Amino acid sequence: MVFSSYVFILAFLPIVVIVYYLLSHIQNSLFQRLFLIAASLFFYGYYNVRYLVLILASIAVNYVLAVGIQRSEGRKAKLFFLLGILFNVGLIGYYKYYDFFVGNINAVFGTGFTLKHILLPLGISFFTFQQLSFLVSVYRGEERVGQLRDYCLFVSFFPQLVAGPIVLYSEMMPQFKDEKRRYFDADNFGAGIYLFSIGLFKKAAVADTLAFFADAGFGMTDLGLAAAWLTSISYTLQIFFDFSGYSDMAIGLGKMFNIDIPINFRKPYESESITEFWRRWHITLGRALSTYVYRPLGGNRKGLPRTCFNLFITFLVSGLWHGAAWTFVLWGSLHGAFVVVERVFKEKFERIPHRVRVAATFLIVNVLWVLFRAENFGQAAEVYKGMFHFGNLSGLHELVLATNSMMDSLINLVLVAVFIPVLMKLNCISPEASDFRPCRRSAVQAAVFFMLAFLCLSRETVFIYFNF
Amino acid sequence: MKKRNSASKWIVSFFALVLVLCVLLSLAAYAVDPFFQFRFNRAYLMNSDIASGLVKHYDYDTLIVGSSITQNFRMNTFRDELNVEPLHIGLGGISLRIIEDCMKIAYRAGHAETYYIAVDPYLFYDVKNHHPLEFYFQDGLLPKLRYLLSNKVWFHYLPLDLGLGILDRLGKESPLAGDICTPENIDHFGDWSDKFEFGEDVVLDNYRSSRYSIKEIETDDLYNTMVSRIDHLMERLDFGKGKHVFFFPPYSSLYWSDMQLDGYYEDLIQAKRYFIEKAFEHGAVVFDFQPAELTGNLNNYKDTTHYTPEINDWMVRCFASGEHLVTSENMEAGLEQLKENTDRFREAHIDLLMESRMTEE
Repeated sequence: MVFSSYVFILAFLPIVVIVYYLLSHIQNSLFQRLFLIAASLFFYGYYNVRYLVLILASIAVNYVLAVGIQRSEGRKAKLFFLLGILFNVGLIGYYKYYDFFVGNINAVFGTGFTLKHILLPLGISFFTFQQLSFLVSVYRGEERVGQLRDYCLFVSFFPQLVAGPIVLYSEMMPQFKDEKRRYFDADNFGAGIYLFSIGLFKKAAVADTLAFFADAGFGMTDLGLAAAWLTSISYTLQIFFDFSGYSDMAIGLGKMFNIDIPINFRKPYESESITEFWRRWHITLGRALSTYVYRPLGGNRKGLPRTCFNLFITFLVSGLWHGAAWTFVLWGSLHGAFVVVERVFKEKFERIPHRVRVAATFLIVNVLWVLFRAENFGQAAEVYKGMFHFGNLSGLHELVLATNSMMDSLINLVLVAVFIPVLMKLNCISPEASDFRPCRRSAVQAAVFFMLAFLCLSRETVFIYFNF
Repeated sequence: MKKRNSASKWIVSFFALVLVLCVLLSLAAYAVDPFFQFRFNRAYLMNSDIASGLVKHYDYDTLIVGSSITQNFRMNTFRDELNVEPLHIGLGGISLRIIEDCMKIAYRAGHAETYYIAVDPYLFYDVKNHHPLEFYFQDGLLPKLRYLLSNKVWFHYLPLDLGLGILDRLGKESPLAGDICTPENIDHFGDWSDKFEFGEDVVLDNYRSSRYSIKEIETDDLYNTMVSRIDHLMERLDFGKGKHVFFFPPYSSLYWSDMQLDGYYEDLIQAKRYFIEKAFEHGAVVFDFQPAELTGNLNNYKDTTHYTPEINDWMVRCFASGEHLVTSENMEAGLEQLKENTDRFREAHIDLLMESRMTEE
């Protein structure tokens, strides 16, 4: 199910909230938790029941292995841990990387192995990563394995199930078990509605409109200078509003159930370096990669050259995690390369004026998003050719025609035009929950955002990060 | 405690505001009604979203429903040959669900005495086809609300239609005069004949670049899938509400040759036979243009299935004269004729057919 859909907003969410708080009248909290698990699994299996088998199998195997790790010592614990890594990497490897791997073997060795064209199960990267991180924590003795139902709720809790934020067992379970959080809390519920409304607006009204230029431009050849830049900037803004909108909704939904989900975006396009960008963009992924890749490699403890190497590898993994294609590998590698350069020349960069650094960072991120969005290097090359071929000023008219909608093109143009001077400051409208003030102004703001977004729901789309 | 009260008040205020906004927006959309869901307004823009509104509120006595192969019917030919007042709802890639829902609202509207329904085979095997306009044809409060609070209404047509409506009231000519819903324009609803070229060369070019011009067949059990969906359609039609005329459009022999070589032909013909028998059981009239000689001449087409408007005219004349009318007696002869035509065409064009298959492999 998708947050920005009629069925979620008009049926699923109201029913789940009402039943959940009705169940709070029963003294034993078990029923509430079981209901939340059932609702989350229904949410996950809504479009394809077969996915339910996959996630349930993944949860069951990981739980058994986690218990095995906890109850064993020495080599036996290590064996369970390695089995866990093998299982999760194998699962994601099969569903996400099989065709990429086989396709490359075919290309290099001239073999003819058949590609399976496997449909990527919803959110598999997220729930696999989350469970893998849990196994690591149990192996290190940082976490204790609770009951199966608690673990199941930790993995399947619907607000963060399919596209994060990536949460830790230690930050979720104490909240689920906190008796005070079982009952309806108007402050949290209001904050939840506020965040959800803003997120919905960002996704349905802004991101999906920006998609008109991005989708049209990436499907065209011979893009002129203006058309190519409009295409890339539209996508740069689209992916931000899409993913941060999703995260705002997830955090808002968590709030409605008195659960604090960590913030995932903090005005990333105001960053003055690529390093800072990754501290502000998809924060929970950065945290997970830092904990489970960068630091185990040695982090910054083994001198500058090794630090640079570790940073580069971490970003390479990040690229591969985002998608099974060489475009993602290059995208991750280039981000890694910029971070390394920034680390080496840190002091020199700090002398550059703040605004110049922010603009340069935005430009670099924008140029690299082209690789991220393109289906292949050829498509990326078409957009780059337009962006840096200063002699060709044509193509804008064709781009507008390709969107099939003059009205959407117009709104799109306005969005892009006003972003830099106006929306840049507001590009992370979602405040921390503590910033929420239940006043008349915020009620009007939330209601207007919600209604504008609701009007856009008839053009149903999916979230970009559902593909990862 | 005070803070908690203010949060509760905030929640109540939010829902109250959303409710008020919903009501106000719905009323405004109802008043303008860009897609004629509640009434017809001649000053509005022509677009495919008005289809269901036309069925409900336009003045007609004959309804023609079908896919892109019906879009080039000329309404004046219907008027001249059959002396009727026609409305045609031709939607490219129309789904079976839209046809069923369209007939339901047409019955309720009660305008039509005769219904012409194009029978494209894909309707019965393409189970995944969901047309974007489906919800306009559905009954109930939720589809209505979805319409009144939809993106297309609020961000596209309502502002334009409102402006056009005001100009019309002021007696001033609209700058978009050629695009608004005049009876002449409604006659041309969905017409694409002037946007494409026809002729053998065009067909062959299209064929070589993409063999199928309509939905590919994905089902493993073609015949049974089609039979179950034919039954579904027949159950939903109310044959007591008027004369129902089904017609099998004259796809080119190239299409049928493809079906033969791909192994679908027999299932399609069996399903067609089943359809005709079911239609007869309900007292419906059936025309079958598929055995016609002209299907072997690719100059009549733009691709394997889409033909020139002159063919549409010829079909209307057949409706009037009874040529190609199917009866229990001539049904098998028609199916045999189609097979003969297809065999002859396939033998004459085997190189082309095999070449396209080699390219695909």
